[in-house]
Amino acid sequence: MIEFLSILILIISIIYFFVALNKKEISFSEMISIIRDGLKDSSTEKDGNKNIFFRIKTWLIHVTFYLFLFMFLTSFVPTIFSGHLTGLFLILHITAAPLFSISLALLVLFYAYQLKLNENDYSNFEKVINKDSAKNDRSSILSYSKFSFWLLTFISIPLLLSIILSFYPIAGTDWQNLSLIIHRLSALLFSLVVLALIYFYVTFSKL
Amino acid sequence: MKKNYFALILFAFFILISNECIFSQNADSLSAAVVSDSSAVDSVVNKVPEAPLKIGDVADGNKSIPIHLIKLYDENRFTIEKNENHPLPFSTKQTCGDCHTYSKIKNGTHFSIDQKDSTKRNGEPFIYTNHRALTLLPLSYRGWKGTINPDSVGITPFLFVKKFGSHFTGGNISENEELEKPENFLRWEISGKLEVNCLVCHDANSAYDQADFAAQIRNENFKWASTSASNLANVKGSAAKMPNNFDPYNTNTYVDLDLRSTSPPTVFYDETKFDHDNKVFFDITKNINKERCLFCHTTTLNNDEEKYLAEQEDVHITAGMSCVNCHSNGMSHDIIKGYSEEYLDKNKSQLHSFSCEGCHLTSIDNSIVGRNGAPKPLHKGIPPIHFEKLSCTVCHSSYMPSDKAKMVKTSRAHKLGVPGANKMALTYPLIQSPVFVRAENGKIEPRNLIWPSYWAVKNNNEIKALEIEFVENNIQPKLELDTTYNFGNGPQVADSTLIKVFNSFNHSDLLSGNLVFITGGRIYELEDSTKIKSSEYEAAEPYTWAIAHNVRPAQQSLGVNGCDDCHSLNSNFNFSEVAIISGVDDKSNSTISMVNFEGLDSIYQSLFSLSFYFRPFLKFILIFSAFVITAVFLSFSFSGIKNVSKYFSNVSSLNNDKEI
Repeated sequence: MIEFLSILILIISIIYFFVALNKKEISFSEMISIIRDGLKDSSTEKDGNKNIFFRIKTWLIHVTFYLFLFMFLTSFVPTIFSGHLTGLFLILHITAAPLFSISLALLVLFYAYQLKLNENDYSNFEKVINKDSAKNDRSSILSYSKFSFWLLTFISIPLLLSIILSFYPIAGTDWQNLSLIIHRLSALLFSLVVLALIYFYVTFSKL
Repeated sequence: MKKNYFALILFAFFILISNECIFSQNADSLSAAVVSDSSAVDSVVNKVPEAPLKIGDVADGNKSIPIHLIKLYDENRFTIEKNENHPLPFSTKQTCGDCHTYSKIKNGTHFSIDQKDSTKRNGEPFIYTNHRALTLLPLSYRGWKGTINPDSVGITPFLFVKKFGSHFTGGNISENEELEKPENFLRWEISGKLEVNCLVCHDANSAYDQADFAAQIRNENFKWASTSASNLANVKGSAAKMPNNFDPYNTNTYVDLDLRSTSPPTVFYDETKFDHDNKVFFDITKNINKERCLFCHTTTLNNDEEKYLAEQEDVHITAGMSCVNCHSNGMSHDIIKGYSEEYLDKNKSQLHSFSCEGCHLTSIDNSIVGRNGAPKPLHKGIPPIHFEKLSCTVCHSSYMPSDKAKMVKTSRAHKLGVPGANKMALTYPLIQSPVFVRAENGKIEPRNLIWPSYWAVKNNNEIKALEIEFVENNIQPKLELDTTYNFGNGPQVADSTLIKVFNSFNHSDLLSGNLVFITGGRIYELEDSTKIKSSEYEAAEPYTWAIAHNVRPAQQSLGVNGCDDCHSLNSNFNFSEVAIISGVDDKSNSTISMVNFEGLDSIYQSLFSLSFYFRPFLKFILIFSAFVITAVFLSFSFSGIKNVSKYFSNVSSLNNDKEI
């Protein structure tokens, strides 16, 4: 059931993602080049800057993004096609898991202050709630990106805790099953939020 | 002329009348369940879809056991009286069949071993061994994959009963006349039929002696066996030593025998057991004593030194249950085996309650969970994938796996409980246990394993096992294995001996093809007259059958010490060695890793096991990451709440200003 649900939600989200980009007249290749240039720019635009923390922060985005892709492929692909995460995929998944979790934690730590919500973001959300027209300007998209970042942070908590819990002889079979379902659903939501973040980043860059 | 016609019509009329009488007599006898000729009754019963119920077929609901003070009947349905001079053994078919429909019971699991098994789930075969001919054959009429039908190797039902009847409940194989071979006709007439022996399970009298039953089978006293085993009589003499024309009522048929050394089978009833109505008391029970089951279903370590340390009772027995609490049956005597898919195979959802998971974990449809107070296991910390990939028995049943698969003995394979059983530690056949094998349902389960070994003839890639009599008479002498001791690691022959044997048969008219030898998972044949070649062969693969007992308590289950019990580089679950028992001393691999039977890849298992060395590191990193992310989220959430509050107060104050 959960496999079917995952496939359905992922397919709908990806289709919606591309339809939305298409509405903004952004093609797939353009999207790829924006992401690639963006990652390149963020690592090179301030090459002269001697601040090591800035370089670490940009490097973290790279690492976390590619690790996310790796984690996504090694979990969803076998789960969708065989119903289980086993075999080589499992080994790859759990090998990359600590690297991904630590890079995500550092990313959250380093970008939290920069992406904290401010009054401008609240007013942008108010615009969304009041269905004001000016919701696709750079400021609004930045606010949505910030919100997505915090949503991502929130979702990563059950994502990590559910799997940590299953490592210890605390939960019985029923709770083990529940924690696995929580882990899968969290991973699904996490992936959708990442998709949203990519969308906001691409549309932000296009504006 | 007219008189002749009249006489003819009168004669025809009498014939008709007398036939009607015979017919009505049969019908009456059927309804009253009073039968005189067993074979005739069988044929009538087979034609009638539903035989009329007898008094003992359906219980009235009272949970107590009715007192069985009954008359004894012989096979001809004559009452056995206490003062008879030459009494016959009592017949269970006639005695028990007086109140219970024999034809319904005789198709039960234990009695119908000649019938195909519809479930196709491998069970323990009857194992024919002849170490001097390097032969080990897993035999079964059930059609289980990997077994050989006894008929195909020249084992007639008579021979089968004689060889394996010591641990057989009697029934179809010896009663079904269609299976009888003409060459055994006279011997069957002397030994009689081995009817379903109801007493083997239901006689609660502790003096019932199954070992005596086995001794009678060895003497071919088939129809005397049940009587002798009971506490009602003694049987002396041997049908095996009687000539083919032996007739117990005619002393001329055995007058030449030296009666000092042998005598015809004779029953001596204990007259004190009969009451004044010639009735005897049977202490019958439905709650079968575990010892009765264990006589045929024991599995034990072959090593006496370890036995007292390692052997323990099944946890269910220790808790006060008996075998029949789970392996129950109705009137049909179709015993519940208790495997997880049985309810699907037999299309009866209630049977799910009798499997491990059905009793301890989940119910399906109208099955009952928690029978006999079965506790629900928590399985704390065990990822659910284990329950999809492993049967319950992997962790909870049989012996804990060690670095080498243990050698065990079973009642039926090693004739345990029978006088004269070989008590040496390593005794042919060599059975290894537990070996973890991937079953047909995709789950791994513990099994017993034997390596078949037999001589066969190869003709145009068609391979057929040779009859045991041919092997004993022609091949065995050439092997020159002069040991008469049936113990040790099993005899082996060198290539040179094989070449000699192969050459002597490949150039003779005795066989219609080339002689080949199948052993240790390989087939050996001549490459040229001086060299042998061997290759892997499907029919030579080891035969395995699932085991579910003894169930160990949770504290002794596999995995109780953590993941390392299975997920480590030296885990006995994956990397225990299974010995290849071969009749050929070819110096090649003598062991095979357990992982090969599990359908798993050893490199992957090693890699996966390796990942567990880093598991503490993984846990630490994940916990640290979760802590950092949670701390950041909470701290910014608090300031966020402050900002939200501030934002709404600002908005409301602006609105107030506008209103003012």
